[in-house]
Amino acid sequence: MGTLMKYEIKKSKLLLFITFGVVLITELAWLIGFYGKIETLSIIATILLVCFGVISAFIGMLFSITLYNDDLKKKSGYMLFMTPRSTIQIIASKVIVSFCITVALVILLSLCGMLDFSLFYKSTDPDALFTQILKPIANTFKENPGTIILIIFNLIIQVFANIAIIYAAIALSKSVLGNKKGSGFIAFLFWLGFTIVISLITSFVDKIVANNSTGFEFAFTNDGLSLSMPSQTITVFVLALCLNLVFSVIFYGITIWLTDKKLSL
Amino acid sequence: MLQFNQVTKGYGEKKALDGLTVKFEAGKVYALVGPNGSGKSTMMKSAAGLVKLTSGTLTFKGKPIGVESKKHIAYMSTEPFYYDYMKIEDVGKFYKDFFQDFDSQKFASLLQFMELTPNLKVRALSSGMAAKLKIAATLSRKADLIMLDEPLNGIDLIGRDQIIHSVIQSTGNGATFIISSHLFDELEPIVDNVVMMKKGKVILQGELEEIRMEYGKSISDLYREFYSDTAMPDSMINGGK
Repeated sequence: MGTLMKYEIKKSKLLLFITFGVVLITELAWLIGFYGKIETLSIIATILLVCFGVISAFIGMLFSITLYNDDLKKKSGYMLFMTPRSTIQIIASKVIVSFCITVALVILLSLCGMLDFSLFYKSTDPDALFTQILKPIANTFKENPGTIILIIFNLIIQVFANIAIIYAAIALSKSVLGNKKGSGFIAFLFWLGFTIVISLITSFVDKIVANNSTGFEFAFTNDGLSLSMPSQTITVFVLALCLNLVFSVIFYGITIWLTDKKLSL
Repeated sequence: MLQFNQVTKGYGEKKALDGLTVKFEAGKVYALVGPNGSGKSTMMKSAAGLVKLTSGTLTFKGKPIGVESKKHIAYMSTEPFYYDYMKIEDVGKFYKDFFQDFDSQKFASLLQFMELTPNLKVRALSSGMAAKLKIAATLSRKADLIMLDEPLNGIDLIGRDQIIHSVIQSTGNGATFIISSHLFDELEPIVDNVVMMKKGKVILQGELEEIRMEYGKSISDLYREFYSDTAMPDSMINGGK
């Protein structure tokens, strides 16, 4: 499995180099802007870093899809599928590598965000309105780091449930639907349908457990206002996480079965 | 060793393999001939585990094609199939990492013989050089079954001689070879058995000498006879009637 993962990383090293390089250059630009008092540079870098944060999950998804789809679409897939490795190992290596890439990207962006935030926060006037707005966020990092970790972890698992559905949709379009007209469209509907189903089930869980009242609570701490999660919201988050994990396993199972038994390169 | 039993592979309405039944025995060198679209590549790909069958059974040493069979089967497709990011030496490393039977020294000497430089990027190779690389990597495995799909396709005369020489050097050590071509003549110096395919079925198989004796014709003449309807439209065969 380690050997398979090594080659999955080698395949995506150019894309990895570009993605991580762009993030690091943007962070460097922010630091130059901050210490050099170049406001325009800081603002542009901040906007870019926020954008990267928002799309980091999609970048992870893109990595994952590329790793699987390219090997089915291009002749180079022969090289991989000719090796004496089981389909479970081949798919798992792609999933683990894309998971590690996503987590690494999220960690890098989080570290950049925390560094920039603390530098900026320390440099502002404590009584300024802007500082007062940022204070609850800073306090949440200090008082409830578990909340932040749960939110990030939930996001990553959601992304992977989505990747699992996309993998199954790709496998479906290249196998049993392979020679049928509109196979791509049917695969798209498959992905859309199950994404909606998972979303509806999550809403249903929210309704049963918390009567659709999940959200954040504001709590007063020694440092002022802080955000926290009420226990009902945590329950809903954990249940949604478990649900996404179950769907991930089911759809990876479908992908492996279709790839192993039905898919011709 | 490799046995196809009533194997069918359909792509929608079209059948690439249509109830194919054929057996390949250990240690022999087979020419798999037939015109384009006769099912040769599909047959090889299914033995390599790249194509899944619609029906029928395919076994290697009595077991279905799978992880175990892939350890002992080397397959070279007619299309270039190495990752673009690789250099020639990376191809060798890949084979070494995944196939226990890969002989790095043989790979190095074959590269030298084929005049291929190890640090060249795969994507920068000409079609002839890419074909030689495929041959070098595949023949460097000490596999029980080696399948070469159209190894001489689009190769110049010198390259052809180098490839034929490399294949001849590799045969005779107990491995079974299946070498496909849509032209028989070019395989004649290498093989001792022939399997002729047409529309996903085997239409003739046996040892070269036995076939020549039985039909009283050369294999090339038989080839022309069997495939004349494929080569020419019906109107030409029937004298325009």
